[in-house]
Amino acid sequence: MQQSHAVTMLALRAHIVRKVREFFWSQQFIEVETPVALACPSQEPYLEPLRTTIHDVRGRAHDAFLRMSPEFSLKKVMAAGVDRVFEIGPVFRDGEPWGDTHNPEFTMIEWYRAHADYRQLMRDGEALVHTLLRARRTLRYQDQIIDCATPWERLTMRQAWRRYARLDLDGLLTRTAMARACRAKGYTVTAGDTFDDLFFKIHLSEVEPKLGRARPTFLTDWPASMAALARKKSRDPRYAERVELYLGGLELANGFSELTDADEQLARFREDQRLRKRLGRTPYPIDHAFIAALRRMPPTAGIALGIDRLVMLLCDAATVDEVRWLPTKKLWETPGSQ
Amino acid sequence: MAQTTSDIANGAYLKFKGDIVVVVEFQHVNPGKGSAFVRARLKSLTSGKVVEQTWKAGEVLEFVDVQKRKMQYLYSDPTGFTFMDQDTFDQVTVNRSVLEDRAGFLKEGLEVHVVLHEGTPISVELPKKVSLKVTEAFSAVRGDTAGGNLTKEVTVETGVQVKVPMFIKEGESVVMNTDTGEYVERG
Repeated sequence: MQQSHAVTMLALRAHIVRKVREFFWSQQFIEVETPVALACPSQEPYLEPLRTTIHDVRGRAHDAFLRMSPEFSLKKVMAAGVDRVFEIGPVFRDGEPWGDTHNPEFTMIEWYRAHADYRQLMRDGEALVHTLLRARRTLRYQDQIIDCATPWERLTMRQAWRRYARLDLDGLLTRTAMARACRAKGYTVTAGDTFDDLFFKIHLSEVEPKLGRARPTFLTDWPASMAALARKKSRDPRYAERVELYLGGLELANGFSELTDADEQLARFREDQRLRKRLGRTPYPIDHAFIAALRRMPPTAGIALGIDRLVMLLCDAATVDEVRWLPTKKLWETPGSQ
Repeated sequence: MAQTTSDIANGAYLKFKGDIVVVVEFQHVNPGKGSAFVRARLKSLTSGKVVEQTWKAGEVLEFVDVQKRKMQYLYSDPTGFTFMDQDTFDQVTVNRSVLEDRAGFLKEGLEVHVVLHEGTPISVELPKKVSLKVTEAFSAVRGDTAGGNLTKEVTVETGVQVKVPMFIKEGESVVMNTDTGEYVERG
């Protein structure tokens, strides 16, 4: 019997995941499994966790959230004294597109290293993909030939904006200045637009589509308002030590030199809660055990990489549906049988 | 009711920076660290240039009311391409720039939709597939396929060159995709 395309993809995917696992094992990382259902989801203002209810044996109901990332749990592992840790597993995001490059349930690998910063994460990313490509130096993806020879391109956000949007980001870090730049370029500016909204109008049109096309690109040093859980640059606190990896037009990974200042983290969570409220979204409880863990966590770098997109790249698949068995779309768009 | 980014569709016409553009492609983008956005590739009807634009999801867009008329291609001259309505015999001439890169698919008698805005033709929608006769083709030479070279260029009845598989011969017809300019099948 001839194997279907879906079965071939399944086998290739299994092989890639195994190689990823072996790569981190060979570098003395400990593989862990942390909870998928959480009491406190992460607080990103623009992401929605998948919500459910868990009952104890007396039937009492508790809110439960399927994790958007294992980040908090893994940092608790780091705080407990583990030096290198990784986890491969499912994460969930509600209200995201079903198909193309997204699936509301997807597989992520996150890895964390103590006493390291985001520069080490970039070297890890290069080494990982190098291993997966074996002897090949180039990757062919959807008619693009990507030269994967290391070192890969490293661009700060400021350099990327200068090159592709022809703007000096340093002068645009206030809402007023960014609004002026947007208007000059013909983007709409509405009263409700935040600095981040205006930033992304230019970034998503003019900068992001250019990244990682001929070579993989690490985009580093994001404006501090987009720092999330990253620490600010000590020499220039207007920017944060955050890195995203782009390959073949796909955003593949997002990492930080982690914020270890528990008080600042708490303040950012409270700010995120306020922002969520303003946006008409439910603010979630703050994970105080996580804040406490941060006080014990050594300087750490951590990164999340999308396994589905990695498989897409290595198997030259155009959509995430091709590389996942039973994508969400299939589960809900196929009418159930009687 | 005002129309927003959620009404966007491929082939929709919009007013944009004092120009009329057609939506070539669009995508919902959720960068995770920001609101949801809609990123679109817009083709200017005056210059033919394609630009990328991003709106925040929910922003109000200015859609253009258009009228689509089924017309037949007659001829071209330096002023443009002329089409005729077969029922009323009305003729309409469309600027060359409107069709530029797709002019090679216009063969006499081809039925298209001419898109009019306030009476002025602003665009032409071609059928997805057009069959064209090959008027000039070199035969495949032995060894041509050895280097993975599986296509060749042939001239078709409209005078332009298209890429087709090696086995296509002079006098045959080929079906071409008018969006991508790629060969579809023999026919």
